[in-house]
Amino acid sequence: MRITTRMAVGTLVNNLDRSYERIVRFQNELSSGTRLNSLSDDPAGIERSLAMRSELRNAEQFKKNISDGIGWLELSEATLSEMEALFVQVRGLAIQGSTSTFNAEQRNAIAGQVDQLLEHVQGLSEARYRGRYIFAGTQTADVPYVPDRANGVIVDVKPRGRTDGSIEREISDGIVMQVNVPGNELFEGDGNAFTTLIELRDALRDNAVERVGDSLTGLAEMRERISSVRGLIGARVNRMEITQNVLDRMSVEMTTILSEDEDVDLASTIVNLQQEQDVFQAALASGSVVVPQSLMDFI
Amino acid sequence: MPMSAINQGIEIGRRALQSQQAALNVTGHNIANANTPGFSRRKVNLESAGNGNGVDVSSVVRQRSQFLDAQIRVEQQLLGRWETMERALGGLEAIFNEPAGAGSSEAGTIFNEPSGVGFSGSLSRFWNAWQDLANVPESGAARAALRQEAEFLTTNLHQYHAQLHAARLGLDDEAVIEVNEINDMLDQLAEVNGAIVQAKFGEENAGDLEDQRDRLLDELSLRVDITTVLRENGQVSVLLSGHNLVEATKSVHLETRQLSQESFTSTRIFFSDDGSAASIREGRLRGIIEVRDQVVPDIIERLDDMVAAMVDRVNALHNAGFGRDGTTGVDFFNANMISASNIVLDDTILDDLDNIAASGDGNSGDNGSALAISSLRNEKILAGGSMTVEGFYNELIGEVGARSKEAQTMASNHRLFSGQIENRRQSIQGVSLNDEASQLVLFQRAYQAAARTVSIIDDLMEVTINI
Repeated sequence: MRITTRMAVGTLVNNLDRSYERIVRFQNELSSGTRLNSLSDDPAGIERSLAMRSELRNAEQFKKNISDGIGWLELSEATLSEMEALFVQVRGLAIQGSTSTFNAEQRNAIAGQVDQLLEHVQGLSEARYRGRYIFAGTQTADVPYVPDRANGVIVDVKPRGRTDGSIEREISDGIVMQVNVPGNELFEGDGNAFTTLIELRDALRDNAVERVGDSLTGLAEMRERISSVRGLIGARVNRMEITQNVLDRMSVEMTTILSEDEDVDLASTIVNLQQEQDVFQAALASGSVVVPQSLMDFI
Repeated sequence: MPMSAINQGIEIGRRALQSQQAALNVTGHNIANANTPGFSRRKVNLESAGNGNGVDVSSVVRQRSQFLDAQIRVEQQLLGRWETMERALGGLEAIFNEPAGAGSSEAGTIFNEPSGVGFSGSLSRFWNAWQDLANVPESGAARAALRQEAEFLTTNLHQYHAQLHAARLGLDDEAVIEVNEINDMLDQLAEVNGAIVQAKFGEENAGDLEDQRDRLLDELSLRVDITTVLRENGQVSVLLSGHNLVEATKSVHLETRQLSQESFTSTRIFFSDDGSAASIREGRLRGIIEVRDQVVPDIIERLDDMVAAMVDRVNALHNAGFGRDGTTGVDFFNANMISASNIVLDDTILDDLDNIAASGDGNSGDNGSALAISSLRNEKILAGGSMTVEGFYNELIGEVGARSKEAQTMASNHRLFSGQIENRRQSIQGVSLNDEASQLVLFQRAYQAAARTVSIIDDLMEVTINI
């Protein structure tokens, strides 16, 4: 084939262009740290990596939801554990009060203690998590239980509204979990936390030994109820923690996969860049030797 | 054998001097044009003058391969189309560059953009803002954050739409510019056609005009898919999908007219003589039209579909929920603005954050509505119920990337092919300085020898005269 001057130059320039393009690409990958610098670099890879990124963001969100949910449940648990301890104490008092050796005055003194504990339980029913009443169902803005007082003494405690609403957190895709203990499970209905205490107090005050003795069963049942709710809370916290661990592990794995998909393989890219640079320099060097040469130099 | 006159020797010398001189001129012309684009080197054909009368220049021939010319023009048409698409699609994909980066879900940048700016990111943050609200439905701060994310999302879509629209307008302008340039070239071709015939009639050398004609045809091929017929008199006829553009010294222009299509005025191309629509299949013009009329509208349409579905579903759930003060039946997005260009939050939401419906039962502590809206992210509400919003969007930008990559690959292939053909063409028509240098030596020596012959005959004549 007849080779002309322009061909030699054109071929050289084309090769230099192509080589330089590759150098710039490797350099771009190295300086950005990723092999995906625009959509066209790997369209399928980018689709994959975007989907994974959004999953990662969801996982972060679920972890946030879980930690909020656990906070809510743990406060409920702390409140209920205090209440359970309180009922143990009340049962002790009731046993004392039911012994025949106690007289009316002594029973009245115990009634005073029970009344204080009743006030305490009423206080516990107003427990708040970040400003929200935890036993108020979904009406979290308002005090759930309103005591009726006669001469400053609680004679009845009534729910202000409905307290049976369930509050939920999404803890992973499509899985929601209740985080509140609706107040009605403990503070409403027959033999609830308030009425058992009020009845005991009144029985002690009235010096009615038999009624005091009867209240022991109610107190034991109440403690049972609290304990079973606590069990439920424990199970929920447990499940949330397991989910959180799963999400943590998933995040780590996804981040690894993402990094494999997106990150530059430093070693091989640097080697490639080095090779390409050698090619480029060889082309420049040979070009500078060959192109200016012609017979003109010798005649 | 006739007696040879001494004058004849002078005549032979004169012809030789003239011929070598002419050959030297042609060599000089070749060297001078060694770098001229589209130049075809000339070859001098010398021929014995007969009757022992020395030498004559029989012809100066342009070195050219019509076969390669035709091949390269076909290649140029493909190259023009794909290079234009490569550039235009590269611009489009830059619009959708997404923030990303290794390591964490938010930190770092991949696509040369600061973190969190792309749509994919703002979409998942929008859904997550509903989750945040679900965690504290009573909170004003979570509502404010949600509204901000929602506004960010809508602004994002507005920007995409504005950039796509601008890209379309830019391409439309380019189409007009291309057409003007094409018309210029058609005029020049008609002019050159006339000049070629005149030059040939005057027995002048039409080589430079023919080079100009061929160069124009090369450049025209890059722009539009012409076919050419070379006439015997050196004139060329140019056709576009069977319609004459240049015939002899007449040219038919392409004409642009503004036609309104949906909300967009676009330029259509017609033949100026009979007003029929010109169909353009290859070349830069085709690349421009394809991106302007197919790729960009397709993207806009899909963004609009996505927006319409989102507005519809979010509003339906939002209507069923309750705001902080118990209001219900309120839209979240303005239900009348359902395209990427105008999606906007409903006035009631803009007026008062309390109108954001987080509650499902009307109580301020309930988060049923917020949870339901947030879980829309997993609901397949697009493409006939087969895709989630995110999946739909990811597929869309995956396709933008794939199209751009295809155009890059095609353009790069055609650059290679046309480079190869151009090399073969240059092998025939290109100037080699080595060739020309050796010719210079050859003709210079021949010229010197011819001059010597004349001077010797002159000596002989002097001898004769002095007898």
